[in-house]
Amino acid sequence: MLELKHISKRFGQSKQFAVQDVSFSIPEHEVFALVGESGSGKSTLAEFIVGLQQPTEGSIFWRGAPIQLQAHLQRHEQSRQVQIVFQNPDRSLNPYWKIKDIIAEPLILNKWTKLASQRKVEELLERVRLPHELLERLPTECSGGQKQRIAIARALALEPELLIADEITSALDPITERDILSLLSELKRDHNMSFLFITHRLETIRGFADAIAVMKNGMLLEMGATEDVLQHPANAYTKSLIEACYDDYA
Amino acid sequence: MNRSKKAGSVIVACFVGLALAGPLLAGVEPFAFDGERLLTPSSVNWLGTNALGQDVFSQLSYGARTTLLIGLGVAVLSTTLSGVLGLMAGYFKRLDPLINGLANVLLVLPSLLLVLIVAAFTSGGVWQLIVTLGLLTWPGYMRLIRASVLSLREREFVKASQLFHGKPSYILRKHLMPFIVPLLRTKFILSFRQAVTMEASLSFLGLGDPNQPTWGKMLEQAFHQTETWMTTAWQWTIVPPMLALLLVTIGLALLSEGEHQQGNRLLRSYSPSSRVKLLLASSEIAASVPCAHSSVKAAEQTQRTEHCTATHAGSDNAVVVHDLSVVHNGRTILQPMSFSIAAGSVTAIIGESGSGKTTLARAVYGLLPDDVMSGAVYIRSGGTNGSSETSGTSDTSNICATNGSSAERGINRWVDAAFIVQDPRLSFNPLLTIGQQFMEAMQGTDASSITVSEKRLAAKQALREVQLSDRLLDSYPHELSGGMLGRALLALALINKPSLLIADEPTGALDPIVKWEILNLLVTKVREHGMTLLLITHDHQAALRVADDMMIIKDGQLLEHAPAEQWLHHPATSYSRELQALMPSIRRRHISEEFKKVGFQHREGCRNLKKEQRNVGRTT
Amino acid sequence: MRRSKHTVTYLYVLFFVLLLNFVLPRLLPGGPIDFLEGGEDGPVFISDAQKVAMRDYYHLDESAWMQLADYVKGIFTFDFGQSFTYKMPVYEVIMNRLPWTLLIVGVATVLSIVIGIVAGLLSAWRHAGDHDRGWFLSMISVSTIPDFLTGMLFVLGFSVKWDWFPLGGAATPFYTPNGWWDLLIDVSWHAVLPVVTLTVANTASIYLLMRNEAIRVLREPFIEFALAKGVGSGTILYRHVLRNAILPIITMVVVRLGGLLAGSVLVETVFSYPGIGNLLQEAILARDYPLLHGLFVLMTVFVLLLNMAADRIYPLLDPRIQTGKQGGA
Repeated sequence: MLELKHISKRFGQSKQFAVQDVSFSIPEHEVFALVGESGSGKSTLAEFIVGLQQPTEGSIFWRGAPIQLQAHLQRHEQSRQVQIVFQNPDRSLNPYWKIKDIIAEPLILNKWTKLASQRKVEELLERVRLPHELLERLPTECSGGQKQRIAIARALALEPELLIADEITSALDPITERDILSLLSELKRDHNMSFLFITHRLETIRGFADAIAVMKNGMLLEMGATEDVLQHPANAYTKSLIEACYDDYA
Repeated sequence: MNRSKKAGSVIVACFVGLALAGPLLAGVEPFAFDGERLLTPSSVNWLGTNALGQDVFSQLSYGARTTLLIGLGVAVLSTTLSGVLGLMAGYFKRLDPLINGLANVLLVLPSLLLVLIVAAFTSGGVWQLIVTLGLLTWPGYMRLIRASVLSLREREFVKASQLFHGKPSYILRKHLMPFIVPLLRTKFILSFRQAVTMEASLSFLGLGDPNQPTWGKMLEQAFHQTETWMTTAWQWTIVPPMLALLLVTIGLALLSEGEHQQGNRLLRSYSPSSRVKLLLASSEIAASVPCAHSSVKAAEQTQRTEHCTATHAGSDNAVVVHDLSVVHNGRTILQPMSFSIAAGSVTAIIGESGSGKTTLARAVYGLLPDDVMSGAVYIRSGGTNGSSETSGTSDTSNICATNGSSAERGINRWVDAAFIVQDPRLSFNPLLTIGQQFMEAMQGTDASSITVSEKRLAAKQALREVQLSDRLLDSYPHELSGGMLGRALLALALINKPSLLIADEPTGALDPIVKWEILNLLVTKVREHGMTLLLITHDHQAALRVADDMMIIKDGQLLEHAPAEQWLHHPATSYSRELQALMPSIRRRHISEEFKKVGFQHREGCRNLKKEQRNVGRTT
Repeated sequence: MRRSKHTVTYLYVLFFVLLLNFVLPRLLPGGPIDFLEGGEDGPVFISDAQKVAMRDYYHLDESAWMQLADYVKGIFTFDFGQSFTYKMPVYEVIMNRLPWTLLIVGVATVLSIVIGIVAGLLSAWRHAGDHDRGWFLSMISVSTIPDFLTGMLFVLGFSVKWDWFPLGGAATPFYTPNGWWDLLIDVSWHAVLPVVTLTVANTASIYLLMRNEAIRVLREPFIEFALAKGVGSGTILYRHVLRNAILPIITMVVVRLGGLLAGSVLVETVFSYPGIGNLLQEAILARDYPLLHGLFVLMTVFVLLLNMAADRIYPLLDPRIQTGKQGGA
């Protein structure tokens, strides 16, 4: 459903690449994991897809149609279908807003009526398994896991088909991380959603991602079905990454 | 609202009251020459008259009006300008160079000089002054607001709002405005104060509006009258306007000071805490403190003791913690806990962020102030000198080598124990070379006779030991990568050969591969030197791979303290079981196999160490 | 990159001030002369000779461009014309007064920097204690008092009430000192109150800056690490806190110094001290335009030079910037 073709991005005018000739595609109803250490360019790719940044070369296709990166009007429909959840829950929620206003923001900006958006917010809250009392609170009064759920609820408000999860669990402790991952699996199953799951930790994706791509220094090193890559890594870097996470002391 | 803010508000309210009601009460025009010259205060002229026979109280209250008008005018104009321009410069990249350039030009010029220029060429009217000051004083806070918007613009909630097609005006108003309101409030009061001061100063120089009564002008007139100084007239001609000015400026300052948030007290003691002491000789500890691990459940107690005696030599403890608890501001950060850690072992303290594990580490190292911490911590003494010089006094171990007879003594930081924290990039002072920071750590050793070149040699040796070039001694921290700094930090920790190393998430900020490199190096070096390692981490999988013992901490409570293998196979709490459930089953098998191997290596290592110690004893 | 950008800013500032100086008097309703004569208060009486002098000075008979050319030429040759009141070249008048100002401003600056930095550092060290709080509040209060008010307080107390110090001036008039030692004592005697006033006015702001910076630095992880290394309090304060906190302070202090020259106008007026601040006030009140012009140019250039000096000093103290520069070249 989403396809990236030969995407590159340079730092300013220099010859250095932030992202160099990356191509991959995400099939419908799949979880596609993008793995790499910080600075490998994976978050930059996510920003290209949602249009927060423009690549210097290459193009992105959504259901076969090229995403017009500048044209405001066409982006409108596509941006509804692709949503993103960011890494740091503290930075993705405005600390001065109540939870109900945060989740309702995309609805209000899409000209929903007050009553309709109120009902939708309650439904979304249920979908991400958050208690009703949270609505009147401020983000500072919520735990890290709750904050990330709120961010997911906001991203779900416009019923997207692809959700980009950019390191959404890296700021959480392991038990909360597991809970969030099972929430995503549920969403995939019940709502037929696809995910682009970006992480620097290989251990989180096993049993969750269908396919995986490994990035380093802005380049795509390896790509394939998750178990294939984990069992038989072709690239030396992938190998050492897997060793660091799954196996070691050699 | 704190006390200083309250005092400020009262003063400012009195001043506003004087400005509003004063002129009605005065009954005399400020410039009317009705009275005699220099009358003392009376029921008619409440504050007497000045050298021209004008009523001082009338002038004072009308002056308050002028001051209020100028202050408000300048504050509104200047605050609006800084707010609007700051938001625009921060949010719109295209406008930024223009606005910021203009601000830079204005900031370089002292505003007093420019105000003087304008006042010199115009007649110094009130409105000219308001406009001039308003136009000159916005850049300072504009820059603060701009910087704040520049960083806020990168926050994800702004990006999300952009993706939902929120317009710039919407984002600025709804998302960013709440953040800059506190800045604007401070700016408003500050501008008000600046305007009051500036107006008074100009009037005092004789450049004020000739048609308005002001406090500055009252002062100027009185100041240049010789009679003021010859008689007691200054008591009513100079003191009232002077006091009024003083009170208003101080009142405004107190009002805006309340805006500054009083930072929380840092939980830190500058000298080693007196609750952290050196361990006494081994026999004495055995008598006073139970050897084994903390008693979580009595049933497991025996098993643990067995483990303790099996792996390590009896009562050889590196750390003994006795009823340690930490309470700050009425909140209990650490529940009372007691435990001991065997010398030469690697103990991992596992817990989520906020569980109190870092506080525990800092408490053990004596970085907490005495009043928040209760209980006692004992640490085995260490250091290079200890073992070689005095091994004659104690035959089997180097415990309390230098002070076997003396009573409880505080620890010598970095010699008896060392403490390294999360991010190696933040641990080094950016303005000192690596070498300088090594030298500093070596000042703590007892032997002050070590020369600089000897220290340098030792530092080079330490760097080579962690596979770093010794040329790095002359580099600044910013010239090194995170991994290199991690190694350097490790070398620094080993330099005095402390008996205990406390490492608080030593790899938390590093990339996965570098992280493993550093962690492996850390454990290898610790084993090599027979040191004890207290590893604080949230990553229980990593901990399992390197640790002999595990301590699980949750909500400030020590839940479990057990040998790693036992914890893995017989977890005592549901929390531990939940943690373990997160590990893939292949992993678990893998690790326990590894344990057999590592455990063997470790025991072997211990045996060698003991042999060495015995040898040392024999040679002297 | 950074440096050239600043230089451009400074050129803009210079241009702006010079232009303002040229345009303002000519823009006044009816030109500078009519403006003075017709001013409703008529603060100054102008003789015919003065009018001639002014017309001469502004070259009012010539075209605007010729006026501008003369004006620019005057600036580059330090020829600011004849002072109306002193009947002397402006340059000489200023040079006679400048040493006095430099004396009190210089001494006061050194004193306030030393006191401000030491007090700020100690206050930050005791941060969040009652002791620090008391210091902080009193410094905040002192920093807001206009300096002429402080000066007046001193005059009231020390000169009028107790008669410890002279009321004003830089030296006792008609006093022939016996050798340079008496002269020195007389001059320092007169300088005490102005210097103390300026010091009081400036210490508070440096203290507040230093305190904030030092508190920020004290919260850095490397301070905790240095403590963990067993480094003593004195060394921590001097090597770690002071060195890191002083970087931003230096720039601000140097820049502030520029403002001080103009800022001395108030203190010098209070104490009738014969420096250029006092001269500035006289010039403004007497509408002595050539003198004003000279003073403005001098003060602006002084401020700009100090700013440039601050830009040059900063990289010398921060190794991070130095190496960055080398890497870029």
